[in-house]
Amino acid sequence: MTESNSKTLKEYGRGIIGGLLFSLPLIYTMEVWWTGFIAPPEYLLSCIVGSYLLLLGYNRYAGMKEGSSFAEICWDSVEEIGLAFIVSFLFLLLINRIDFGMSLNEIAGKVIVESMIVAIGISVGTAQLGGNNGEEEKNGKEEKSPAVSKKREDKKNSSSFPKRTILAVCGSVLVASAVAPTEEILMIAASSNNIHLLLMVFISLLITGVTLYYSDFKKTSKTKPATRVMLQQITVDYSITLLVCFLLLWFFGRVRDYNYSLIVAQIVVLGIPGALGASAGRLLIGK
Amino acid sequence: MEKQKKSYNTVEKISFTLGILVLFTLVSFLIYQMSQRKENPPILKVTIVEELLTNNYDYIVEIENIGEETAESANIKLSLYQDGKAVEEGTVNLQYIPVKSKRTAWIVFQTKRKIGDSVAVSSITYVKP
Repeated sequence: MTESNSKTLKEYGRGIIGGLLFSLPLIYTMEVWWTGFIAPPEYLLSCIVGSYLLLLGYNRYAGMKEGSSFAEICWDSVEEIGLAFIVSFLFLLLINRIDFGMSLNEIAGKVIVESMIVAIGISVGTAQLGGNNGEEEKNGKEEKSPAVSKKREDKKNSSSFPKRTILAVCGSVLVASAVAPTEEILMIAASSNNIHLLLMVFISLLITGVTLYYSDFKKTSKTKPATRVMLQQITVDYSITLLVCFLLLWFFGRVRDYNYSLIVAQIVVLGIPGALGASAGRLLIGK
Repeated sequence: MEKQKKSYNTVEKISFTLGILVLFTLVSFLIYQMSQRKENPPILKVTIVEELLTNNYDYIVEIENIGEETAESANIKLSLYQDGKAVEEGTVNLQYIPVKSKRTAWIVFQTKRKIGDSVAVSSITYVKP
């Protein structure tokens, strides 16, 4: 089956808007431009590989085309990452952050760093910002009783572990990366004592719990699991968040040459937006 | 039931090809950089040229990083010499000078122009990021 060119172009339009929606704060942040030319080539390579793996995961579990084969997911991810590089390059050119008098290292570095979030944004935008192409109508005709409808809803909301994890990572990256490169994280971490940090951990866990089990967010399960299961899931989500925060801080050069207590403090500080992304962000970008 | 195989339209084919090309170029470039990288510190090359197009007594200062690492908080101090004595000083501050990149600055002296004037770099300081 072949989609029409105009439908594909519309998809790209949605993707680009989504990409800009999530990445504009980063495109306008000077610490991100600096990372582009300070980061060694192996960091930039890991950034490309990491972004591509995230795209594969996101497209597998929440992408626009359900039931796609692995080859199709790979194809879509290449399209999105290519689009992200082009959008980042053009936008950086537009705001005069790159010009052709700069060295290739500087231009490539800046574009690679910025396109990490643009790529995920494009994927999310393509999948979430569009209409359902009659899918809802079709579902509506099929629904026979409230019980069937509830069962279907719960099936849709209940997530497998890989799906939960991938979406939590994507949500966490999207939200936490907007502040991860800034000096403010370091400032807050350096001026926070242990009580502040413990409170931050508590607030992060609370945000996750309230989002997933208390506030009746869209796409959360209507049937509440047992307390033990809830605590388990909150802990897993928070652990994922902390790992994502550590990787982001490592990438933006906030881990090198700092002592362990300051690194841990930075992870905890970044953990609040990260937890918000892994819980509420995950629900927003997921299916 | 046999699954229908997806075929791609022209726009999808073009963007996929572009994506592959960009990815391949960037990855090859980064691998090449990794293979060529040496642990050399930043090396700042300063070129000073007198600006003759304005009425002020100003100089164009070009700072190029020919080293292998970015220089952070670069501070270049310049002195104007007249009759063998430093009569005025000026400093150029740059947040970052990336590898193989050039930054251009202007320095305007208040001292009156004299024949035989010279401008020299007194000191260069920077931090390794």
